[in-house]
Amino acid sequence: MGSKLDLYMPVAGKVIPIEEANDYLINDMVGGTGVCIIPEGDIFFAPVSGEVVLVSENLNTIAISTKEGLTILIHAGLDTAKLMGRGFGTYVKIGDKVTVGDKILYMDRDYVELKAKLTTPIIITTPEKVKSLVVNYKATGAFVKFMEISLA
Amino acid sequence: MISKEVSVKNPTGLHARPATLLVKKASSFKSDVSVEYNGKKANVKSLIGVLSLGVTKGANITVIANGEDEEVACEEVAKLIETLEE
Repeated sequence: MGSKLDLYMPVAGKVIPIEEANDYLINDMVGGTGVCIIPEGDIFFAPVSGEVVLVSENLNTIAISTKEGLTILIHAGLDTAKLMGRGFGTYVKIGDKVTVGDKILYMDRDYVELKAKLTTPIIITTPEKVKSLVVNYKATGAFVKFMEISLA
Repeated sequence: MISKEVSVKNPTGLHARPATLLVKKASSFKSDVSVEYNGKKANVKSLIGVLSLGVTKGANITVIANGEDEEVACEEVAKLIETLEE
């Protein structure tokens, strides 16, 4: 009923439309919706408050579900699964409760840039909960609001 | 209901990219499609569900389909898992 949810920059960087990442799969992410961030920091923070529902084996992917039932997936870098966790660290585990701004993940940008791509998709994997969203492409600093979601 | 056991051969397991392919494939069928691994079961039409299983290389997983097109759904999803390369 007209409720909104804001997402805050999980890392300093440049926000770009998902199509600009030009990645054949992310472009068409299973009906999910979102943006990409080209990170300018190594530490990632929770963009929303909620519960950690996924920390991947390769330490490059974290998902957080909010109390409204929205799930946000943060995939640090592209093609980073092949690094098998090298260059990555996580500060949380599945089941942890996090608040906006809590540290969640570390990515060694120098290493990842050599081996893969830094472009980081932030995907809402529950698009059925989203009525509309507004992206602030001018957001650059960590913790700055970069997306306003109207919940369905 | 129909099920089939397959092994995951790609070096990085079922991470976001192959999981995305799986979700797309499974979503093209009417049947419910799930995979079972290590005592855990996930809906293959859910990206987070598939990723939550943490399937790594060499794992044997069971594909289960239930619905009107279950045979082709199970076969196609199993085939996709076996032919994953990245």
